[in-house]
Amino acid sequence: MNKNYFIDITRASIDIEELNKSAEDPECGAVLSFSGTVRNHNFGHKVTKLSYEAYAPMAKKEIEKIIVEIFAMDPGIKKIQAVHRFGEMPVGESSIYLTVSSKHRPEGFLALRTLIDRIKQDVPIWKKEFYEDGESEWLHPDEGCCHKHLCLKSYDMS
Amino acid sequence: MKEYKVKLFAQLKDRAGQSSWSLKSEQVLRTSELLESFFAEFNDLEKLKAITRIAVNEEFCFEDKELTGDEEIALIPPVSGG
Repeated sequence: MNKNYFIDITRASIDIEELNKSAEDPECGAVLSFSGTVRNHNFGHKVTKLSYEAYAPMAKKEIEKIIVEIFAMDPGIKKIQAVHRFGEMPVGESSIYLTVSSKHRPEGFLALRTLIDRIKQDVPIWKKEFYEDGESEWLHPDEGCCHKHLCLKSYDMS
Repeated sequence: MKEYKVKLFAQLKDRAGQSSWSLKSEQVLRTSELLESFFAEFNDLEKLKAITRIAVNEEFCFEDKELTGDEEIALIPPVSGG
């Protein structure tokens, strides 16, 4: 079956050129991409490298759910690719690369924005930062939890 | 006696020192009880206690539900991918 989306959770570095090539589509007047790259600082700490851990089978399923929802938003969205890398990677490299191919640009921009925002909220992948001073820390954003799902806070409040 | 095995990730995994944690129980456990028990054992993880989610068979659990112990269970601390 010729699927209109591609998802990969991989340890290998991301082949951006290849993804750009496969994002092209004669039906689409807009081909958008997003590259999330390893930044050299966070909250005043100098970051030397990052390590991502993934619950890969579930991450893939969650991304698939998000993509299916995005296709349902607008028929102009024709093709979506999402590749997330895990393991260690140095500053400057892509940890995530997304493409959206759409008929026109408005639905494409909206789809790409929705895709990255939802991935950051719901896909089980975690980032660990390594700092210049030898320290390291897992990032667990306080606001990162969607309270639609079971967690002890919503349970306590019920 | 049922053994409920739980996959751990990120800070939860580092704190427990292993990638899974298990709880033995004579009774049927609910997802919320499993969450409670984990954070009772690792009570220094206060910051993550209220915001860690639970996944059953690779799906987020939306409601408190009974487990059989045969599921693939995972604790999902707030995610930071991207």
